[in-house]
Amino acid sequence: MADFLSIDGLHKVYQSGRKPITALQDVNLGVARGEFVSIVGPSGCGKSTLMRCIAGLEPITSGRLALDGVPITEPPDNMGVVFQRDLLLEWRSILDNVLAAAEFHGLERARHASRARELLALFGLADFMDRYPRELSGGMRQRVSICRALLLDPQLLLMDEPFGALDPFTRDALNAELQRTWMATGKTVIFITHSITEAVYLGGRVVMMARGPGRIADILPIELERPRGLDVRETREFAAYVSRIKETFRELGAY
Amino acid sequence: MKTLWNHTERSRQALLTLAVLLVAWEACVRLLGIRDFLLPAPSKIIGQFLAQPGYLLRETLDTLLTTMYGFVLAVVLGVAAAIGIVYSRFLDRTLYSLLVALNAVPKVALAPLFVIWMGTGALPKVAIAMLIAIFPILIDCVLGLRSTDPDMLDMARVNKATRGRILWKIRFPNALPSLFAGMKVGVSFALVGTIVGEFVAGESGLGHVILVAQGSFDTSTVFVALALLCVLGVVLFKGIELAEERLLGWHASQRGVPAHAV
Repeated sequence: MADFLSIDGLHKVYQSGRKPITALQDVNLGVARGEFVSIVGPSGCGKSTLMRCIAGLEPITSGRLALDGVPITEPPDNMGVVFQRDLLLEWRSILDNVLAAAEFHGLERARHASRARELLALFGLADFMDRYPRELSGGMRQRVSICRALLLDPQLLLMDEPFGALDPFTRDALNAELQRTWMATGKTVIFITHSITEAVYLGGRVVMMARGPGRIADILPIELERPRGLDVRETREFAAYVSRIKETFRELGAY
Repeated sequence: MKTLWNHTERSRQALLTLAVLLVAWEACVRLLGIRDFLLPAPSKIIGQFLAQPGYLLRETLDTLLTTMYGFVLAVVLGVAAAIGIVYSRFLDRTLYSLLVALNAVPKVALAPLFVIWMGTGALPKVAIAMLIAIFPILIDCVLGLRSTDPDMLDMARVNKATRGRILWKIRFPNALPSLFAGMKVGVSFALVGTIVGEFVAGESGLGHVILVAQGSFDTSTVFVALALLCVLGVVLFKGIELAEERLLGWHASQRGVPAHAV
């Protein structure tokens, strides 16, 4: 079966002044429909650039990048993105923030209101729909931004270090919620993080990226049974995956 | 009742200060025997107002309306121009650069020119008020529209937002705090412009009242007009502030802890 997302020989070069900077070099990655792929790496390894390319926010320099067989030249229709920051609109209520996704697409609000309410309820925000972002905690705000990304039921969900700014407790809770949502909906998820634990816990595969220039160093399939409880992280198998990834990064000189 | 008392603390303090100043003024004028045409006592000024309240309030209303016309025109044209400047590189290079240069000209000096062009009716006054008020509004609006978080724009782009939707759903609400800052300055400027207009093209308004009273050394009436102008200025400013509170409840400036409390 052809890959849902296919990346072949992707190069991305920035022209900064007179000196070109290679942000991504020869990236090859195929992602099957319904797969959960974690991408992990140190800062400057180009993982965010890769996400921006997949999101259609950044033109690629050479290579091939296609979603469902269609080359990505602009933000694809069936894609939702969760950014590092929640990027909520402070002047809108929580429900209106989720519905913003429909409004931006030029779709009718009324048609999506019930779905927005369902999503918010699913993420434990049923009692907060009429509140404003400033009244919510960081974890709740990021949940709202996940609801916004899921509103139009995209097939591909891109997540760029979405839990990086949260405390460890909230982060754990959201990791578990995300796994549950993914298992229930069967979406394709690309999850970027700088936490190895998070990458292993969530990913069906972990893509390790290295810097100077940004490239894929290795790809490791994670064969832990789903659903994974948070305590899976205390098992020997889990520890073996983590230490293998750390070993790879150590060899690359990332430590 | 207690809460009402607490809520009005600011106003009570301001009014008390004003009362003390007025009493001191009255005392100085009486004790030092200062003559009326130099500095009339507050009691004399109030008496002068009560002698002809209809006429004075009519002229105040006239000034208020001219100011409002000029201000509203400045907001409409200023915001429209700001949007043009933010979206068009050409307008940014031509119009914006030109306007910034023009802003350095004392616009009051242009008032006589407007009288030549537009005669002495309401038109030149509105035009001058508009011209003076438009600069802070336009410049702050451009600043607000430009200072949109680039990540926010990315979020809109991945949601396939058109430029129009980005403008109305992200850039414009985001620019409102800045626009209001410009409007607060602008509304006071519009009043200045109106008075200048009434000085040079005067047939009515408080500026005209001042000019006529000055001609007959009727200093008390000049002071009445100044007091009314003062009230007018405060009312206009407070009006904008009220609208701001209503619309910008979400913004930090409306909730922040005052600097003197930290």
